[in-house]
Amino acid sequence: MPALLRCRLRVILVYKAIGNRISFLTFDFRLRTNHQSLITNHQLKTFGYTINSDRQIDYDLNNKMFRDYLVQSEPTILRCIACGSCTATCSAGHFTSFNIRRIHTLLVRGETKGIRKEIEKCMLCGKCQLVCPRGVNLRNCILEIHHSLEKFEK
Amino acid sequence: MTFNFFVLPFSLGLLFLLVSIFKRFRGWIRDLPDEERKKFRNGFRGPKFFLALKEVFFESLLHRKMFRKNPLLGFMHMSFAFGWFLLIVVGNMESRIYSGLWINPPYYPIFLKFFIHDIHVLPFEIFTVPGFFRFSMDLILVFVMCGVILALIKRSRSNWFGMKKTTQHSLTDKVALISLWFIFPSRLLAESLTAGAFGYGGGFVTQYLGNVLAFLWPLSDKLLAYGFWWVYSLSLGIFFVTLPYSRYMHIPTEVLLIFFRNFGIHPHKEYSAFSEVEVFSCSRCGVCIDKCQLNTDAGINDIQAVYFVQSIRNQQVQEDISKKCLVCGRCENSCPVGIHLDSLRIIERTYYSIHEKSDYSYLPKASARKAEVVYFAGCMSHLTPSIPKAMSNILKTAGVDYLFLDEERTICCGRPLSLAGKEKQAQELLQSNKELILSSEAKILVTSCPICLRVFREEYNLNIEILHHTQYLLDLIKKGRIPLQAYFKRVAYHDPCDLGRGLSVYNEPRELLQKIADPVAVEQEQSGSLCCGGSMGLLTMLPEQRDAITRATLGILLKDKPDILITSCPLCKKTLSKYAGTPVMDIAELLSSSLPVLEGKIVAKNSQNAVFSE
Repeated sequence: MPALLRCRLRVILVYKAIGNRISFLTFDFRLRTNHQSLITNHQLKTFGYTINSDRQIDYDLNNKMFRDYLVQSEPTILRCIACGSCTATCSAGHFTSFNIRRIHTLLVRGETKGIRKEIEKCMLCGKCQLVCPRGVNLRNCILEIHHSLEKFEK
Repeated sequence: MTFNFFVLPFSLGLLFLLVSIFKRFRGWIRDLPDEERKKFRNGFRGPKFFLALKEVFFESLLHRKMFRKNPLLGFMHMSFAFGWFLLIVVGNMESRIYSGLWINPPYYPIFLKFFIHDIHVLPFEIFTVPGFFRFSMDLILVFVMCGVILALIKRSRSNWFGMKKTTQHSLTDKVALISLWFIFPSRLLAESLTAGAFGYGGGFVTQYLGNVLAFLWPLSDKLLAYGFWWVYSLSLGIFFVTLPYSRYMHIPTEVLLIFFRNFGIHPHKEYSAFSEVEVFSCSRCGVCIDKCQLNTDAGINDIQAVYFVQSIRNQQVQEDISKKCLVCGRCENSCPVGIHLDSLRIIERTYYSIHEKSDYSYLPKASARKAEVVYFAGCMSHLTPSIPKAMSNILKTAGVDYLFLDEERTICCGRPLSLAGKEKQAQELLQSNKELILSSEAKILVTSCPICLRVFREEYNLNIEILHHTQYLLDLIKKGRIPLQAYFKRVAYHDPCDLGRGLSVYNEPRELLQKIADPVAVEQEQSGSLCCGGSMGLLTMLPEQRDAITRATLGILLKDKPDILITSCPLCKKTLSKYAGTPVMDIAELLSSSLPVLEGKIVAKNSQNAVFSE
């Protein structure tokens, strides 16, 4: 049951407001069996499972410049409800795994690894913008993502 | 007596003006690419030179285009430009005859009435009427004064001239403007007072006005006249010095622009000397402000073409000003100077993405089934699936051997990218699509999207017939291949920007509509049509403001309460149907629904998809 194992490896975020800044404390619960003994990597591999790479998100360490820049240059990005309509209609998405919703989520979190390669696939046709129920200026978002990558990630 | 110190401000100003115009013109001509510079030089020898001269006369002096659009505004500009031109020409003739020399100091004709007061019949006037020059110079001055008075009225009552909003001018512009206002009234007063003081030498206006003034202030009139000659010279001098740095630089530059255009020099895709000349030709008349829907409907009044061009000229273009534009072409269409405002806007956008790259290597190597006709729906038509469906239905009924090129997945045509200033990236998509289209060996490419159509026609160089679906369907109807059924409903037609102003396809959709429906007149149609607000050209704006534009456009389109609102662009359909309340249909849909029901006989064999070999 790979799905079950994967969701056991979960990340719990505890929000703690200090002044006007929010810090995120992260806890990592290791996988445990019913007998409370740790399953080793070796054991997992024997059964044909792999462990996904660690997905802890440390908001304090992530680069929030992108988010701030995007919000400032295209404020409608804040309206996004992550419904994924944009991705469902995407022209580039018919050819590749290009996923603008995912890119948006990652960038807002401050994770920029591999974004540049992904965003370069966009054809800027604008279908996403037309189907967006929240009126996000997606074409400009994409232009600004390009722009911010140029700016902060030379 | 042929000199007085008051001629100095004028003479120095004129010298400064001529030197700076010469420097600028030389710079622009030097910056032209070699080929165009050659064209420019050769142009002076051929018949094009005379065509250019004719255009200069009609546009720069008579303002014919402006007259057609707004007679009062046209008259105001004509009285300034043509009147001043006549003053210079007739004044020069007069002064030359008086002095008997071919060469005069340049100030001599301007201040002639100060230096010479007499009522002699001049040699030239023997052929015409005695006092011809005095009379005509006064008449011309009155003509120019009409312009001045109209200009003053326009400042406070611009709505009398049909202008709701006028340009907000910079400081230099204001200084130049005020000095321009002073020139002719001070000339009139100076000439009148001089004529009044001497008791002779004036024309039919200046002499009588002078006599009246001399009667009112009998003592100080000579000194007063002298003072006004100073004011006249000073205001001319100030105007000449501010001219190269103000909007009035359009006066000399527009002449150069007309020569450029007539000699076959065209705008480029990047900022060129031609663009620079266009930028300096903008007179900031502000005609574009009222045309801009961002101003009239969305309440944004600092990004209009006039301010945009001004910011290019001052070399301080804000990202916002180049991005906030529908690129609908309404300003370009209304511009009396004929500046390529849309392409300037796009050129300016290229600077923001100059280092950015794209990677479209994922696009499949194309090969498509062979067919007579290729139908390309485009991205937008896929958002309105009823349009491709209707097209398929019609084409099947007509028995056309067609290929629906992008039935499953579309490669964007590239225009959205080039509208965002990414010309280089657009070329990649263009190449992919071109290969795909050509691999079908079709003779006709039909598209239901004007955005795609424009780029197909302007950039693709396909060497096959490229038609909008309205054009193709009309052709099929004329050939009798589509059976029609009476389906008369009152419809209003909305001209899409790219199809209408972009490609001048106005008649075919209307002709087609005449056959299947009952079109009602729309207030702003054809080249004056409004943008639906969904434009791909607009990069950033609040969606609420976009919606305001859509609502305003709908208000005009639905004024006569048509049964159906018809358009021929999927993007317009998608945008307008949001708030229409009335059904919005593409022409193809209307035509498809007016086809007689087929009784089990499907004429066309099949419509297999494009085959991608990956």
